Amino acid sequence: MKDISYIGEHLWAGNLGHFLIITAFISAILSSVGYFLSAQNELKNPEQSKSWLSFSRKSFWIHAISVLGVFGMLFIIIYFHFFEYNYAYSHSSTTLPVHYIVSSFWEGQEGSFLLWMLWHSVIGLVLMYSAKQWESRTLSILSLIQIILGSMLIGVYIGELKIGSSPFILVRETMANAPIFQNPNYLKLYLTNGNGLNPLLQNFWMTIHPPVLFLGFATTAVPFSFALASLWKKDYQSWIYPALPWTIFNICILGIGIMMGGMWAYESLNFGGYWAWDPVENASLVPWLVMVAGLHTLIIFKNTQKALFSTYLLLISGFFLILYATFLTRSGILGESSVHSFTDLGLSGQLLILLIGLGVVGYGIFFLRRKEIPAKGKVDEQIASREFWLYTGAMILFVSAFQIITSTSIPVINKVFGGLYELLAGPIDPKSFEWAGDGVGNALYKFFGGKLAPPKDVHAHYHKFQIPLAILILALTVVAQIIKYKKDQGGKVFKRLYTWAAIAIIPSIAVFYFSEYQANQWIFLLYLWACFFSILGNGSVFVSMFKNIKKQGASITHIGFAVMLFGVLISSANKKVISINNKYTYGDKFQEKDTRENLYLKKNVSDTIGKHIVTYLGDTVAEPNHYYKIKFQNGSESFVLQPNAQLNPKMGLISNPDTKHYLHKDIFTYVSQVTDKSKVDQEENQLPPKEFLMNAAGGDTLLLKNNIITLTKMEPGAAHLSKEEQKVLENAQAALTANFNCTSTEGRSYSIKAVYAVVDNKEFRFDGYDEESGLRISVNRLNIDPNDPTKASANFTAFERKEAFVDYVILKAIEFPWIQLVWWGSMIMMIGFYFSIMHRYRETLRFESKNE
Amino acid sequence: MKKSAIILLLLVGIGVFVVMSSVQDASTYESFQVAAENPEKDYHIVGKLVFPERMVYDPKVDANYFEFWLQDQKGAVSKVVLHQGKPVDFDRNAQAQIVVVGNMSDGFFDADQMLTKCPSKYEDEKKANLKK
Repeated sequence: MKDISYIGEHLWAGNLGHFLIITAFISAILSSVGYFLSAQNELKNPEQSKSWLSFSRKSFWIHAISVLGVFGMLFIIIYFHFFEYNYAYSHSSTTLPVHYIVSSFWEGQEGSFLLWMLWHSVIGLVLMYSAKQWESRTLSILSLIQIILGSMLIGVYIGELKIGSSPFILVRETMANAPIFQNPNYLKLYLTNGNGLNPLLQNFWMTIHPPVLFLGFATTAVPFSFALASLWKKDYQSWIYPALPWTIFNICILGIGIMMGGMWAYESLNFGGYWAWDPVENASLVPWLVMVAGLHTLIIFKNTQKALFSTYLLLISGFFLILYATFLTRSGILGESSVHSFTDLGLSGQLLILLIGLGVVGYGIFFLRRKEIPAKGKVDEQIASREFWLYTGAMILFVSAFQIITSTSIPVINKVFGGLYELLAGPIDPKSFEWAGDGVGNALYKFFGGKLAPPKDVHAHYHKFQIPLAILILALTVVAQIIKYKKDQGGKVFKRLYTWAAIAIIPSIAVFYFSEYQANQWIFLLYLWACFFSILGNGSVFVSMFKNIKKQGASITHIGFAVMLFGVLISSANKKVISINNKYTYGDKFQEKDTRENLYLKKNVSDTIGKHIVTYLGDTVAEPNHYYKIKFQNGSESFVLQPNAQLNPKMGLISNPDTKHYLHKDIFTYVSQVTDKSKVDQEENQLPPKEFLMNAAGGDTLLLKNNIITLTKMEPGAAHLSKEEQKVLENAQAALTANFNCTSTEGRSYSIKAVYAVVDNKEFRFDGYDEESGLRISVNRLNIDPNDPTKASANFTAFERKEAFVDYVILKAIEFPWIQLVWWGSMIMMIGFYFSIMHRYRETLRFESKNE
Repeated sequence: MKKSAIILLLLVGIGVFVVMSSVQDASTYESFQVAAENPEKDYHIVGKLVFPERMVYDPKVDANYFEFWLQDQKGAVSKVVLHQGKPVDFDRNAQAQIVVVGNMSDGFFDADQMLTKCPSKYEDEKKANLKK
């Protein structure tokens, strides 16, 4: 087998790619070490430090170019369909439109790691030219991260141990024993097309969501690097100037990435919403919350010299949580608790080591310096000061993040504690903790038995914590904006707070009253109040400081945040499944669980959904998508939604929703079952063909199983055929059309025309077919009585379905009130972030020019 | 006591509370047998589809009734009734793990949630074809 020389492979691409991976890996090591030495020699030996600096810069440039090269090679492999490579074979196909080629690039784990590394390289180059005194240390740390990510891609074996997984593996290397690889020409013969991209990912959002999200991941490393660099350099002050705009940029981009994920879920998946508290979503939300907390303590420190300790911890944790998120989603540990799936490349051990390794570096440096970190008093010295409330807010954000990550980590808890108990005390059974009573005993059993499952009602579980926390956060956005730093303030400031708090009661009660909350859930009223308090309070800050709009990033962002959370509340609390089926009852046994949320819609038979009369009008096909036209009519208003589905032979039905957007609500629909027309006429669904003889003059009737047919007459010509078909019959010696009037057992009348012709003494038949009934009639032969040409008859064959064919869809429709506010709020937040980034960046420039 | 100590204590308290109540809220992975012994409790049961030919879903009759047979990880088999439509991706995912959430009723597992994990079946199948 070794000696086979294969034909048609493009080995140069993979060899070059793999060479570049190794180059990138080694140059990252050189750059990290070089920058380290440069930093260490900064004071002792400036000359040497400088030469190390220039060495490291070159190394990093080589690194960045190599990463770009790897990126390019992988792209070439996918773009030119080199299916001998496993990556192209597994993730793309020749039929894939070009704009989805990029999606297949990041469908696989290797591609997404590569994307992440590419962003780090770009960021590294930006830091190289902007970080000045911080360059050596931040880039040494960033290069260290690159070494670690790069090790996930090198794909080398040390003995039995696999380190990393190269994207340039050939298909024949992944399954060396497959017989097709005995054939030197296997590529041309067998691997003519790739596996294609998962249809769920063939989506506009999937082309842009990963790059943005990974930029968010990558930028989290910058505040981390600056924090560590400052601890390393023992310069605890000036790092915050460059770190601040980067932190805001990070929060902004990561936030956009998360929102895009929500958009994608809402626009193209059918779980009915933009947020499902899925572990994969949570895993990127948690670092975001921690970074937001870190940003606020950073601002406290900048203004009051307090809270530095927390700032370090939060910024280090933010990055650590990004790594933890990667571990959770890429190691396969989430198992059955997530709907997302990632192929486990067998690297979970390596991921864990890297996670712990970088954790040790990050927290270790902090630990070493813990006593030297300056602390100018505590933030709680003056309760009526801005820093106190900012700090409280940051801590609440942290608690929120902590709760989410704890629940998300249930599979990890199972692995760690379940395994631990078994190791120490042997196998566990439900009676092990009986001594502790029913409630506690049961909890202990779950905890130590490795049997913790996600909460049954995930939404209720998270909301129980997150809604009260959100209320506090929203209220604090106003308090911390209005109260000033450092001083105890009375009177005026508090009066302003009370006033807005009181005014906010009016709209919240109004909205509460007019919205459709079924229960008297006071917590929603409180939440509404917090949203309005935040919008009004921050709005008042914005208006009063309008002249200085450049500095208004914070108030704009907070308004956006409140608008978004308002939208989240209204759209999810009032979310309503409107496709309720009222036709069936199941008896008492099922009352409670009977959700009845799917509606059976037969073609052209109307039903009601909410206030609408809905009709399924039929489908149109634009392969691979089938669009199901559903007409909604409400009085004079009517619109057609076209949820679509792909009937993928490999994956079954892949459904994509369609949504009607109003200003104040969305109507979201998708189909979960449809008639697969391609299967209807398959042999197993057909009755045996039936032959029959009829008089050509017409009048004969035949009763079939599902249809009654009558031959009205046979006449010369074939005018109903298409132009192309008629062309065939141009020089026909004879052409006859048999006209049938048909009635289905359901009472539908239709006609079928079957053609029989003779051209150049050859017989031609154009069968008559009715799509809905599936009835096909073919003319076998004409029998003309030689004695009496007027007495003609014909033999026919009828092909009929076993069962009458019903064209239907199963539809689910959900109404989301005011969901637009979620997107608008996010947009306002982004505008606010833009103002903040620019403002802080200008501050940094001023700070730097002052120090030069 | 210093205010910072109070805050710290408060945070630790909240932390403990969060962990405890997460465990409290958490459901349990169990087998059909345990579910049958405690019919009043809800469980998560991980299993595999068996007897695919006995699957019942006829939307023409009832679009919200789906019945199938599941074998749990200990090998016990039970009928499962799900009062929702058959999930869109069920056929695609049926060969991988299925998690049903609900409680045991008279002779069947009454599920109100079902999670099917997207497997990498899509890739595996093609690879299996290649091996032939």
